[in-house]
Amino acid sequence: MIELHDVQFEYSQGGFSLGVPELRISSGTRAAAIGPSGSGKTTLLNLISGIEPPEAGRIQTAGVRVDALSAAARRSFRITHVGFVFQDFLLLDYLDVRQNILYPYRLHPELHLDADARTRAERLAANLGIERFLARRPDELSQGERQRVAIARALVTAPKLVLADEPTGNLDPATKQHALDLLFEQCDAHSMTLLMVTHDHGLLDRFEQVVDVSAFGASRS
Amino acid sequence: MASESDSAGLVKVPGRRPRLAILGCLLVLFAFGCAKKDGQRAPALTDEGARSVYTVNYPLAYFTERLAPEGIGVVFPAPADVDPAFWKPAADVIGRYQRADLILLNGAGYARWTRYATLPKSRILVTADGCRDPFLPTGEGVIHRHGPGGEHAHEGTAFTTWLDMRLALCQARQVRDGLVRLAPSSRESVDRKLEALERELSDLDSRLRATVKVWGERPMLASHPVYQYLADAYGFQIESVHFEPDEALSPEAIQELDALLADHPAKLMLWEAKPLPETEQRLHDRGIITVLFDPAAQPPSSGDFLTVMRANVERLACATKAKPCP
Amino acid sequence: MRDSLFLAWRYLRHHRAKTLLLVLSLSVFLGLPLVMRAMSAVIQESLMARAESTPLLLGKKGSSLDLVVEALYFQPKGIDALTTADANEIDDTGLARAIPMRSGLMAQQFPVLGTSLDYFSFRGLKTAEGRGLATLGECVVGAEVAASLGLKPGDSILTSPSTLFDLAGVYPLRLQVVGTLEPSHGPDDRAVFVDVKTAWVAEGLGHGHQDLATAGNDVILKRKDGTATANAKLVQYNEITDENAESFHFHGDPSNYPVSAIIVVPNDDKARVLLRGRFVNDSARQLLRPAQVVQGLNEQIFRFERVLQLIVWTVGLATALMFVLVMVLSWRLRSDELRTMTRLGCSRWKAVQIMGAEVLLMVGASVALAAFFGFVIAQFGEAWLQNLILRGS
Repeated sequence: MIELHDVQFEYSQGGFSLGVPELRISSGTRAAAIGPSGSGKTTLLNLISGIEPPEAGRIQTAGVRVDALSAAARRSFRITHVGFVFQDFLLLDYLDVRQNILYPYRLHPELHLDADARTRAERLAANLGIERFLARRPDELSQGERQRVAIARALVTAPKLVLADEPTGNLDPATKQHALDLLFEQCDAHSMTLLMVTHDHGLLDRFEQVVDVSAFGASRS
Repeated sequence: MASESDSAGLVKVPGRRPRLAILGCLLVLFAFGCAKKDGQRAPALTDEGARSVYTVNYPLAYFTERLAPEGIGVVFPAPADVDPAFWKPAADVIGRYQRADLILLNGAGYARWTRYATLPKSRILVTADGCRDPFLPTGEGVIHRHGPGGEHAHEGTAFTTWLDMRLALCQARQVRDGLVRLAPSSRESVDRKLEALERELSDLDSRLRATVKVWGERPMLASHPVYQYLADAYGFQIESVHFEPDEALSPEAIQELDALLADHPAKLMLWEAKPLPETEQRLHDRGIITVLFDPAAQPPSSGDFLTVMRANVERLACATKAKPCP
Repeated sequence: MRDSLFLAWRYLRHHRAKTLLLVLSLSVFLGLPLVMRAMSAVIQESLMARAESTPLLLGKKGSSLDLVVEALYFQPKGIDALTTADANEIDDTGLARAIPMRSGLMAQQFPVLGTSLDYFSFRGLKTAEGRGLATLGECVVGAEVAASLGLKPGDSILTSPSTLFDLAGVYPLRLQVVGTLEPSHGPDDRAVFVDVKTAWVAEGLGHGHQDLATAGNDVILKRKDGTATANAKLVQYNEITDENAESFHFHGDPSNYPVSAIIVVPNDDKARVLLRGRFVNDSARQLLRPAQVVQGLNEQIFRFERVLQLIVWTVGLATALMFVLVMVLSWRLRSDELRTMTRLGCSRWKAVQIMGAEVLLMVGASVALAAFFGFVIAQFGEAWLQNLILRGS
């Protein structure tokens, strides 16, 4: 599912560079990315998803050479193949839960907000236990409920790959476990590959693969 | 006086000839080079032609009918059983006056309703204005004061101006002026008609002067104060009471009469309508001759204004012995 | 585009206060020129039409604008009065018809105009219900008066008292409504019309009371030498009816009775010129062409409008810049949202589309609101705008 080979990346404004000699994550794997702050975990997710193009090297995600795509093609790839769960959820307060879940459909003409999409959203909401909040706004929900909405949004386009950047970082332990359970359950149910950035080493035994980003070549200038 | 009113309150003069007969009569008159003869044509008071002239009394209606050219209708809508001076027309009748091309008022406060009615000033002609100044008072009314203003009297003004034949003539001339303004192209025919009317009114004036020459300043009585202009113009010494012709004299009225006779020993009394026989008898018992002198404010049951006035003058001349009685 | 509009609409709806403020600011900026245009149109079309339909106006020497405003638009300006003799003078020339007008009275919030029958035919006023004036004490009301007060023939309306606490002041006169007029889309719609004599009665220049000759002794203070002095019990009528109409009378010379202004309708152009010549050196009176006066007002307002437009455009530019600043700051504050959109695969163009949709919706709403206000003012605000201009004139 994810293959990186001799990848080099540096931010255009300078200050940080990352080198990934080799990385493989098989399809359907539950993988965790760890490393200290500033080690390049988020950058790795950006490279895999095509948000940032590499300076050199090969990146293949879900069978697509992401490094070879144009910016527009990478966006297209991202919206159809990748689902994101963010640490701060990044839900929109001016949309209700239903519209937040369906938000990706509003952003790209390739996705069609049809009856199937709405059904998928409602089913995800039911599976995640947030179906009764569909008409509410995110600021009316608890942290855990908001996280579940974020998960639903990430999964609504039936992506092949889910990238989660410290999705449980702001949750209390009980809620964190519950959120993870749901995330893993949904990913397993739909055979999605999950790569999750986490600082919580206590969770690592729940993952099938752990990627230590600090082992890759990252430098700051 | 009997006259027939239609539903609109217009007065119809009975005995109107069929049109062919009128035409024949006119042809005859024209053949002899005459204008209208006295009494042969009654004013067509129901005619409302293309343009209309409304008047507030019968004398003005008569003058207008005598002078008006073809195409001008003359209307005097007061009901026959109401004194036009005190008539209160309904709003719709006032509306008809408003739509008239010319509204002829008498002046001297005649027709009280014109004081509070809304009439188009540009189409009003006050016929007695400019004929006499000031008008005669009735001598009645209470001088009073109320509020911060000074004294004032709501004293009446005598308004039967047409009983002075020279005033009547002046009014007829004003009517002529109004008609000529309305129909400038008919000036000559109107003036010709005015000349004939002038001769007739002047004749009446002369006969009244001849009468007063004989009668002198001997006192007269009048049943109502409606003869002020007659008295003033011709020198008749008239004192008035308020006796109704169709009512018997009450004891108070007789007392009033006797008191008046003590200072004003009249031997002749003018009545605007024939009094009851018993009234005539009571007056006769006091040596007073009753003389019918109809002011002709309303159309007569027969004849017209001039026939009525001629009859008045004849009766007065007879009673004053200014002329042998027929 | 539909998705962009959807997201934009949801955002604006969620932030109502901010959206409303921005929309209102923009609509004021956009609407002000419309209002100014409407004001100019009101002056040019309706005020000028009214003035042009009035050939000549005679009044006491003084402010010509005040005379025109009071006589044509019934805004009380406290002008000095002419007399009936002046109207008679015009009639006697044979050159024109004089239509007297007595203004200054009010009936509730509507002006009462005492005039003659000629006024109605001159202005082309037609009766909608009932009939025209026939006698003292009657009134005919304009269409707006009838609608506003729910008046119809048979109703009555009181003139407003000249002084509330002055015992010697004039008390209200009850006017009988005999007719309502069809709308004329001008100041006549807002007026109550009476015969000029009725106006004089309402002003206290005429009155009606019990006949002292027949009144009981309880109303007589004293009688002496044929003169009766009445006491305060003497009933003075505050309503003119069929029964008491004849008791109403005026004292003094009627030719001295006041007339606020006289519409002079010349017979022809030559008569108009002759008449103007007669009054050109008159030290006490002025005979003017209302259209000329309103044109002068128009020119003043046009000059004022130019200055105002400059101010409006300057303010508008500032408003627009503020609007842009608010939008830029707003999107800066929403940088997380922009980053999320980008991460989720939204193109830069789509992001611009979404931002643009917000601007488009707000500008659209502003334009619609400004157009709506402009339409309302144009359709219904003519009288309000006229009053605004004339009160301030």
